[in-house]
Amino acid sequence: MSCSRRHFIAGMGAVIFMTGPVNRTLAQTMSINGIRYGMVYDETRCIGCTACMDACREVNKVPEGVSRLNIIRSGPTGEFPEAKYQFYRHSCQHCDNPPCVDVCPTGASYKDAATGIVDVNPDRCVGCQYCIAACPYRVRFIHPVRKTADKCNFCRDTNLAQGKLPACVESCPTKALTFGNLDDPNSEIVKLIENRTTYRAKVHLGTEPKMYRIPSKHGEIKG
Amino acid sequence: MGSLRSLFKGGLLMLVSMFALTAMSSSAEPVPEQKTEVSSEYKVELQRNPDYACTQCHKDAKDGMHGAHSKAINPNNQLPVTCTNCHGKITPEHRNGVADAMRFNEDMFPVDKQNQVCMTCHQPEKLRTALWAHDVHILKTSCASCHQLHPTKDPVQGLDQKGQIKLCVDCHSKQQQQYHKEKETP
Repeated sequence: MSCSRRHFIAGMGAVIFMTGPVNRTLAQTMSINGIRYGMVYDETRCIGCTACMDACREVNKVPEGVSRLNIIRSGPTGEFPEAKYQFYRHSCQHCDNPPCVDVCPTGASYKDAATGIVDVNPDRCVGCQYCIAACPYRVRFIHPVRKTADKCNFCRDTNLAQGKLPACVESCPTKALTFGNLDDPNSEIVKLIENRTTYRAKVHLGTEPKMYRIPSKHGEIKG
Repeated sequence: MGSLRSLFKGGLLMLVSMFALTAMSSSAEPVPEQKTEVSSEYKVELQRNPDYACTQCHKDAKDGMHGAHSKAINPNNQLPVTCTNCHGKITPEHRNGVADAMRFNEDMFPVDKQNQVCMTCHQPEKLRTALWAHDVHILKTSCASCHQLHPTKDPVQGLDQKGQIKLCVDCHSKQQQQYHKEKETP
């Protein structure tokens, strides 16, 4: 056989060259073919009752003083009795290109390949707070009991694991929240995004957030 | 004659002593008299119970007003709040069930008519400070659909955060159900 050292090295080079891109395309197809969870927050339907905040705290055992989800109320605009208020959901945007994952030195912060959900592995987190600094949406915090980074994960380990919808979606009395697969063209969420005017916060940063918002009719869009 | 003079003398003595006594007693308490003079503006006191005519028939409501409204002073006339302040004056047809006296949280009167009564005393700024949601409900819901106006304690005022959220959720979920029902059966 003429399997010289030269041929062997050239062959291995070819194998490495080929497997590299193949792995990458494989990873990409996984995230595209899997579920890509997203959410639509309808500001026109939200009444600011904060039932979602309460439900999130209860389901995910979030201690007092910190929160995974906040409904920020602004206003009033206009005069009594026509005064109007605006609501804004302040929580993880589940970026497709998440800066918090990029900066994490231990790999605790990750994007789940099967669902597209950005999550934190508390066993790996050392509490360095790089992710808190990197997140342009300022949604991360240090869990006061676990001393690790924490944030919304669409109830991945609680409600979603039990086959239920995220706590906020379940608790909303006006159905202002729609949760579903952004890659499924027949899902309710995709139809909603197709039919309604939506915006996402800070898209110019290239984070590709999966939190879509239907803008309020009053006041300015705050994206 | 002698006896008559002595009687006169005795009478005189008694008169003098009585005068002295009254003078002493008046000098003993001069302060309260002055006080009454300072606040001697003429004040009208109600001679009869303004709610008498109502409670003759509405006997269950005789002692019906408790809590904040029972001691409230109407800011528009500085007098205690009466039945007619809120419920308005009745017509001769009142007994036949006509829509004259204001009924709160009933469909007999539109929401804006009901709430106008409350708004004659309750100012928007204070309502907003108490709860922002007053602003967005005032044209749509009657005050009485959340508040109770007669009992000692308005159950809404003692609500904690959870109770407040529950109130919003219960009402708005019902509204959604009704909306979908109407949509399905045109």
